[in-house]
Formats: sequence, C-alpha cells, structure tokens
Amino acid sequence: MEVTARHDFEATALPQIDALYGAALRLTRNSAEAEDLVQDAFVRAYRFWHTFKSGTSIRAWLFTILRNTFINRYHRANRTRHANADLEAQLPALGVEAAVGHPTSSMPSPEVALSARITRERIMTALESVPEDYRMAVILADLEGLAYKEIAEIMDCPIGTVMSRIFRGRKLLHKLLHDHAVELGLTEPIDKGEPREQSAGNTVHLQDYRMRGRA
Amino acid sequence: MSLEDIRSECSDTAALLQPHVDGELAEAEQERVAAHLECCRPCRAAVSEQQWVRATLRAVEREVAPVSLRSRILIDLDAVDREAAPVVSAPAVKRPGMWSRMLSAVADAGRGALIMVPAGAVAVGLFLVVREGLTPAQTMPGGLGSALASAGDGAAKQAERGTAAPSGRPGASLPPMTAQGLGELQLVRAEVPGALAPAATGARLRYQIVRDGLPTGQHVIDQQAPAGLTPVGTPVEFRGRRFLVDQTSGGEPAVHFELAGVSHRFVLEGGRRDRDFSMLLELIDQELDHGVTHPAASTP
Repeated sequence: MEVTARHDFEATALPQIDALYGAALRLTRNSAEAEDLVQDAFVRAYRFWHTFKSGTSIRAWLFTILRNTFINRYHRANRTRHANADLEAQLPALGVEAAVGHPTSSMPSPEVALSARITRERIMTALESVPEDYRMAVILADLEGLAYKEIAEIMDCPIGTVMSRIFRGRKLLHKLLHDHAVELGLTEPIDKGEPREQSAGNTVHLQDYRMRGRA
Repeated sequence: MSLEDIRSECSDTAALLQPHVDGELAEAEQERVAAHLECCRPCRAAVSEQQWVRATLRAVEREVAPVSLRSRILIDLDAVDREAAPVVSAPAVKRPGMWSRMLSAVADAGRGALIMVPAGAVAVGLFLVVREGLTPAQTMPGGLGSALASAGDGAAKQAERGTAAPSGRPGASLPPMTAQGLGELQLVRAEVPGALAPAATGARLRYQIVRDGLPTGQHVIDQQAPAGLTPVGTPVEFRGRRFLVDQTSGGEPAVHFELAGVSHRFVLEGGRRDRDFSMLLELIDQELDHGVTHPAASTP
C-alpha cells in the first residue's frame, strides 16, 4: 500500500483504537477477544481504506467494520433469532411498562446522584447483559455519542429501528441498575400498584417518524 | 411486540420521546413534546429515565486500549503492505499473517518493559560478530557488554571490516541463514568510545545485511548504552522476547532491548517504519537465536 495511505490510516483511523476497543469489550465481554476483534477490524479497515470517503465520519466507518467483523467472527448463524429470543425472555420480567415506555418506577429526583454510587463495573456488566442489537445501539448512542443517522448506517437498519433499540436498551439498563440500587438500599422498590395517568398527547406515529428519517 | 402495536396514547408520543432525549427533533417537534411532557407525568418520568441512563453511560470512564494492541495492529499493517508490495521482502510475502499469529500472545507489558532473555540465551551471535569486527588486540571476551566498556586509550577505536563472504570469517560457526532467505547481519564497523567519552556513550556497531552470501547494501546500526536508562518505545513481544519498537526522526524503524547490562537500539538504515519493522525484528531475533542454539560460537 502507498506510503501516504499508510500515513493517512495511522493519522485518521488508528486514533479511534480506544473507542473501538471499548465497544469491542462490551460486545465480546472478554478483553482477549476484544483485542483480537479490534485487531481484525483494523486490518480489514486498512485493506479497504481506499473505500473510506474523506469528509465522512471515520468513527461510523470503523464501527461499521467492527460490527461486521464481530458478526462474521462470532455469529455466523442465527444471530438475529438469538437476540430476539433474549429479548422475549426478558420482557415478561420487565412487565408491560418496559414495552410501552412508561417508567419502571417513579423516579426519585436525586436519581442522578444514584449513578455515582453504582460502580462502573456494575454498569458495564448490566450493559453486557442487554441483547446484542440493543447493546450495540446504546453503545453507539451513549458511549460514543453518535447520531441516529450514523447508527442506522452502522447497524444497517432504519432510523426508527435505531430509536426503538436505544429506547429498549436503555429501558433494560434502567431496570437492571434500578434493581441493583434497590438491593443496595439506595432507592425504593417499584410500586406496582401505583395508578398510571393516561395522557392525551399529540399523536405522531413511529412510521411517520421513520418516513421523515429517511427523507 | 413493536412500538406500533401498543395501544396507548402515550405510545405515540413515545416515538418522539426518544429523539427528544437525544436532541434529534426539529424545533417544532421539540415544542410539541415539551408541551406533552408538561401535562403527562408518566411520559416525563420515562424521559427522565432515558436521560438518566444516557447520562450515566456518558459519565462512565472510558477504556484505553492496551499499548501492545496498537503494536500488534502496526505489525499486521506491515504484513498487509508487504502483500501489496511484490518486490520487497520475499519471505514475508510467503508468510502472510505470520505476525499476528506470532504476536497473538503479546503480554500487556506496559511502558519500560525490557527484553527478558534466559541466562543461557546470551546473544552469542552478536558477540561473535563484534569480535570479528575488532583486531585481535581489541578482542573483548565479554562480548557486547565489554564492547561498551572503555577501550582505555582516550580515543575512539574503530574497526573496519569489509563485507567478505561468510567463508572468510574467522571462527565463523554461524549457520547460514539462507534457508529463510532473510539474510544475516555482518559487522562492517565498530566504534568503541574511549575513556574520555561521556559515561552514557556506548559502542556503535554497523552491520550490513548479507543474503545468500551477498551484501545487500542495507545496513543496521546498533547503538549501545549502559542498561537502565529510560527506554522509549512501544513494547512488543516477538517469539517470546520483549522489545520496544519506535522510529527515528527520519521514520526508520528502531528496535530497542537490553541484554547483559547493555542497552541496544537497532535501526534499519533507510528502512521504512511502515513496512520494515517485522524484518528488523526477525533479523535481531535470528541473531539472538544463534546464541541459544549455537553456544559453541561464544568460545573465542
């Protein structure tokens, strides 16, 4: 490969190594596998470096390769079915609130302070237990700060799907971390008997949003 | 179950709560959601829940990739470059992927890690060529460690040596390396600092890479110094030995290691860091191996 290409790659792509490694750790749940995954992804990226369009997001491009490498490496078959099975197994435990978007608890206002008392390790463990597609979406949105559009490109799905994956992923995470907080006595358990208000909000269908997202 | 299936008035807004949390709504939509949140406590709570998870994750301290991972990747990139370059180094082209396999067990050594060589694995191959490069009066039985020592007469002693064929070397018991086609290092010049030189000054050896008995015109410099100075470079493990790799200001690959109290920094003259690291490592490793596999060579 040309010297300039090598130089560009080292200057542009390689600095993303920490971000890719962090995501790979969450995906593989194992530091040795994460290293191998990142190594494979960078070598693959280098081979296809000529396909990267300068001016576009290097992170989105690299995460696309990372995700594809991960899927090729670890999930040659039945990946989607397993992910859905994971989710279906978890939904009943979460109750209908998790699905419709109502909170799993009445958030105590100082809950942000709560996060300081939940260890980083616990947060990461919770994240790693979220089904893969949701996990990936949450990693890209909340750890990497990518926009829906970029995530949609990386995950090769519509923006509406990205949104629902992030939403559900966060929902699951909240449930897991909230339960942990209850164990620690940091917050009250969820009161299932609490009456829920029904709102009469404006009606905007997800399908409409998807159409806008594609436009 | 998908969001569309859920029969709830709030579920319609739920589709907008998410982009609201992530700041992806147009202004008009933001206002609409804000108005809804004003009068809907559950949706407000749902938003705060999402915001909380988002804020919690964003606040989490990020991982830093191990230094060794970067080295592994760079060496892999070297291999890709070699595949793409047809004329460069035949052996490496024949063995794509070798580096990643060899280095797959790289230890996360951290900065400052130095080569660990078993006591018996003294770099006899290197020592031998050092001695060959010196006149009999300057023979230094201690090998490179002694080469570092002052020659004692106040002036830098130099030993010049041509690039004679292997058969011409005195006491040459090094096996020919032509089987691997990589070549071997042959000393052409040794500069040994005198007593007046600063304490940190060490010997400087210049080798020519000889392949199939023919000089290639490529040179490797071994700049020595007393061990224990702060080393610079990225740790890599290569065939069980640890090295630090970095580059010169001119972009030439440099490999650093310590052995028997002597710090060595090998630089491939005119080499390119983007493709020649692996060759330099292999050459050094090969020379170190001579010491292990041919102990007789250490006898003067």
